[in-house]
Amino acid sequence: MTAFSPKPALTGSQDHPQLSDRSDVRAVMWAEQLKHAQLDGSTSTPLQNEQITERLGQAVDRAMAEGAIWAPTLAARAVRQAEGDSIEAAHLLRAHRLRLPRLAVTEPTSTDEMRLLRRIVPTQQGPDSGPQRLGASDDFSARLLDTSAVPTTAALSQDEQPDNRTTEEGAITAPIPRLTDLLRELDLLAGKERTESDLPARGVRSDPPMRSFRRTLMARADSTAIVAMAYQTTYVGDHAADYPTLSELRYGRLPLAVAHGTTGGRVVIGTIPVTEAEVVADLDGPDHDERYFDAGYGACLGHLETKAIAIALLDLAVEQKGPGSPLAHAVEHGLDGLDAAGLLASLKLPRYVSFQAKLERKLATRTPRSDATTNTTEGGYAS
Amino acid sequence: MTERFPALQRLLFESRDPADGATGTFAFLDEDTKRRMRRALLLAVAVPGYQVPIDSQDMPIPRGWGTGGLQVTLAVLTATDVVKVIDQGEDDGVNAAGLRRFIVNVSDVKTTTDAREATLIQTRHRIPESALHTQQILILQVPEPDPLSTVESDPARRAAMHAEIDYNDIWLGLYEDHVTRGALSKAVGHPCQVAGHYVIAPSPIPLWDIPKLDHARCLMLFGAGREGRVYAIPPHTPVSPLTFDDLPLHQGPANDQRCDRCGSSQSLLVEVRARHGSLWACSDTDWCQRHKEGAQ
Repeated sequence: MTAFSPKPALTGSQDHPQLSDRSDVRAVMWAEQLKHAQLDGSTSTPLQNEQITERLGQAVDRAMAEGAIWAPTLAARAVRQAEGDSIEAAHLLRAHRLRLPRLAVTEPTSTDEMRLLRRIVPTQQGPDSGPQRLGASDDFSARLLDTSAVPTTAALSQDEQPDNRTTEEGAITAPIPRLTDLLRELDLLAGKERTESDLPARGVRSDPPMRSFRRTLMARADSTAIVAMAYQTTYVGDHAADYPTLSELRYGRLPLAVAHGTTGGRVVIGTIPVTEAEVVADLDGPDHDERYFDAGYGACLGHLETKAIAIALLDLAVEQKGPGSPLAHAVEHGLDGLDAAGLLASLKLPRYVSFQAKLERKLATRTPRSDATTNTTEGGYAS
Repeated sequence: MTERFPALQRLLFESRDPADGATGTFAFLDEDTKRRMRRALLLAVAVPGYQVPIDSQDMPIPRGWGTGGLQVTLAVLTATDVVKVIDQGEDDGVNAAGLRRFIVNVSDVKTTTDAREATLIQTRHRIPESALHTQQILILQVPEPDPLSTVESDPARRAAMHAEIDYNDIWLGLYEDHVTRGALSKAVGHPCQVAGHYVIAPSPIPLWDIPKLDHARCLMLFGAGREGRVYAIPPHTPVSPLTFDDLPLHQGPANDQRCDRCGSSQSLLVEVRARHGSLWACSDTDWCQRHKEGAQ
C-alpha cells in the first residue's frame, strides 16, 4: 500500500529533484514502483473507466458515498487505483475533493422531489399508501455463482419485456406520502419535527453533533462497518423488546438546485442518485411514552440500500439511547473508514522509542516492591 | 512581540509563495483553509495548552500517520523554509520519508536533517536533542490530544474540567501507579501542565524529552488530525510534568550506556538487538551523526 496517491499531479508526474538524493525517500519510491510494476506486469487489458462505472456500480457508488462526492468517472479511477479497496478508493476521492473549488452551495432540497426508480413499503398496501416499485433488483434471486465462460442473463421473451416502469422514463415523479406523514397526522409519532441541517459547508463541527450532522457522518461511514453496527445494535445483545419496522425505502434521482447568480431564482443543475430509508419503532423503553412511535431516517449517495437502512436504524437507536451515550459516541467517532483503516495501518509504523519505554516500564513493575521505591529508575521515578 | 519571536510572525501573515501568484496552491491546501488553521493556531498560542478544535481536512496521507502535524506544517509553511521531518527521532524512517516527500513535492522547500538549520521541524514522538531557538517551530504529531480522555468520556465534562483546572483524576491515577506498581503505567506522553493551567498530552514523547518542553525558546505546535485539535506551547512558557514533590520523575536514559556509534551519553539511546548481544544507539540520528563527526 502506498501512503500517497502515486505521482501527484500537483507538481507534474515527477518527484522533486532534491528528493532523489535521499536513500530513505528512494526506498519509499521503490516500494511504490514495485507495487505499480505488479499491476503493470499483468497481462490482461487495463480497466477502462466505463467498464468500472457500468459493471462495478456498487463499488463506484460505495466509493462516492464514503468519499462524499458525486463523480462517477473520478470514482472509477479511484476504484481502479485502489485495486477495488473501498476505503482506499474513498480516501483518494476525499483527498481529491479537498482541493476542488467550491463554486456554489445547493439549495436545501426535499427528498419528496426525488424521481423514484424503486420504492418498497413493507408496512402498508393499497392506493392510499402510494405506488410501490420493485424496479431493478436481484433481492429475490438465488445467489448462484455464474460459472459460464461468458456471464449470461436469463432473457425474457419479446412479449414478456418489463414495462417502462422499470426504466428512467417510468420513474415515479409525483410526491408520495410516507408512513411517518400518516403517523404524524394521527398524532402517533413522537413529537420530533424534521430539522434543518446544521452542517456548515466548511468549518468546525460541534461535538456532540446535532442529529442531522450525525446522519451526514453516517452517510460517509464505511458501509461494512455501519451495516455491522446497525445489525449488532438492533439484533444482537442488549436490544429493544420490539424490532423496528422498515416503513419506506426509496431509490431514485434527486434534483439539485442552486440560486441563480443574478435573478436569485432556483435553477436545477442536475440530479444525484440517492437511497433513502425510514424505520419506525415502538417507544417501549422505561422512560418512553408508550402511546407513540418513534422514527429513524437515513439517506446516502448512490444505490446502497442496506447502508441507508443501517443509517435509519442507528439514527433511531442513538435517539433512543440518548445523545452522549456510548452508542452515540461509537456512531459519531467509530464508523469512518479513513479513521479506522488509517489508525490500524499506523500500527505498521516504527515504535522503537515508544516500545522500548514500555518494555522498561514493564520490567520496572517486576522489581521487588522494596526496591521499587528506592532505586528503580526505569519506573519513571528518580531514586 | 513578533519581532522578538519571529516564529510567531507566520501565524499573522500570509504564507503564500510570492512566485506562486494569487491563484496558486502553494503547500497543497488552499489559502482559506490555511488561514483558518493559522487562526486556530493563534488562539492556541494565546491560550497555551488549550485544545482548539479545527476543521480537520481529508489529507492524502492516512489518518493516524501525522495528518494533524502535516496540516499545521502546510498552514505555516513559507517558500524560504528549511524543513526537517523525523519519526521516533529518525530522519530516514519510512513515514518521515513519505511526509518529507509530500511536503517537498507540494512546496519546493528545502529540507535538512540538521536540527540547527531547520526552520520547521515536524516530528512524531520525539523532540530533537539539540536545543531549538526562537526562529524555529517544532510541530508534533498527536494521536490523542486530551489527557483527560482516559478518565472522563464526556467531552463537555472534560472541557469543564480543563476550565476549572480540575485534574484530580489524573493525579489520582499517578498516585495509584506509584502505590500499586511502583512505576508509571504510562511509559510515554506523561501529562504536563502548561503555564500553570492546562494539562496537555505532550504527544507520546518519552520522559527523556519532557524537560525540553519547559521554557523552550522555539514555538511548539501540536496537531491531532483524527481528533481535530491543535494546541501550542509558545516560546519561554513554563511547562511542568505532573509529578509529586517528593517523587521527582527520573528522566535520564535507562542505564549508563553510551551510544555504540558516536559515544554520546547525552542523548536518548535505543537498543538495537544484534546477533551477539545488544548495541545501543542514539534515537536522534541527526545528533548521532553530528556527534560522531565532532568526536572524530
